[in-house]
Amino acid sequence: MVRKTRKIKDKWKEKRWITVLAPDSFNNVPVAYIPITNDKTAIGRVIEVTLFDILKGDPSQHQYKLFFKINKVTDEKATTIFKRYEYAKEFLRSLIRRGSSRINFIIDTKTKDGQIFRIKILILSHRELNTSRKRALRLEAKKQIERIVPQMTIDEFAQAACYGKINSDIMAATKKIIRVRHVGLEKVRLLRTSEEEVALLQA
Amino acid sequence: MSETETVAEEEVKDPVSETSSEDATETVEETATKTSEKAATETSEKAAAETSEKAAAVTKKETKEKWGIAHIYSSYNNTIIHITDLTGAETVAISSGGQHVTADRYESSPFAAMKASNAVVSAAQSKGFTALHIKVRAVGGTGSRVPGPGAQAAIRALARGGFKIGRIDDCTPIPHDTTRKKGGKRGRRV
Repeated sequence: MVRKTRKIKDKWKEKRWITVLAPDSFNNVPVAYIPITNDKTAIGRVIEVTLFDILKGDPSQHQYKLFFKINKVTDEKATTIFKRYEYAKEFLRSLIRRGSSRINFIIDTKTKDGQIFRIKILILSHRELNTSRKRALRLEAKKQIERIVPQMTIDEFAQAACYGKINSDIMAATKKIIRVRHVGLEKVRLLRTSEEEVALLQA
Repeated sequence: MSETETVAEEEVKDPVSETSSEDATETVEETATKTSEKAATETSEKAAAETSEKAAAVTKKETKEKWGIAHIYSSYNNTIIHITDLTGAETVAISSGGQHVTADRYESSPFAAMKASNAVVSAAQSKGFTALHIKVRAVGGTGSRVPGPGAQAAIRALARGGFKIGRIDDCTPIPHDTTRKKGGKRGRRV
């Protein structure tokens, strides 16, 4: 069969390079330099960075991954929103070991400005715990999240989640139940922005 | 403990140092060929001057270094190397082991992976990419969770291609709750 010879257009020449900036909560630092064809298709793309890429602090920050979603493109720059935060796979694996309990707890919360987040809390104990203690820990974590998060805006929440403020609050609260080895937010995910929520409720 | 830690650090640093040394040798070779007729002393001076110019160019570029992601999917049947931009939405170059060997059984071989890597490297360099994060993936799911034989060769070839290597991640999809593995109750009977 003879194939029709089509003229191949070099699509790559049409692309322009833009700088992607982190959200306000991370001081708008440039996080990526990406090629795009037009502004419309670029919106919604997600960029993965580590906390180290933003803060350039100590190497332990490589263990935390952040995901930013492009929401607006102007000439040479793209702004983003905080989309997701999670532990690196290897880091999580290094934390978990035999002989200690792993307590997970998943909760949906709403920030002050109406953004809905799903938070997965991870608690690791020194030794195996009985169910009543596990329950108490979950309850305490829930109480803390419900107390802290609704008073924060999305920027404050993103900072508190990534810099470990929420962790330390939960850690302090769990001390009266039992001393634990690790408290952290294993995953934080933006479920719906406030606009999406409004649209969903209207529908 | 401290010894093991230092060893690990050295291992991590190794590929970077390799690439840098290779770059240096390449530049020296280039300059040598250009000025083969001239005296040895002149060549050395010129080489030094050119390297300094190149270094300046590199520092200028560093402000806008073009990072990409190399997705390496390595199974026991093939190796696919796919370079994208940082979002993963724009493909820069793609190649697989099967495109470079004739026999089916060699598709997953390290040699085929190396060939595929080299093809992808030249394509990505022509588009101006200078640095790569690497995401290695095995089959995952009910299949193998260990990358195939081509993964290591592919990474090596990418590093040798002159790219700056950033993170190397394992992103094998691991289910939280699997479907049943194929082969039936009594396993695969060969």
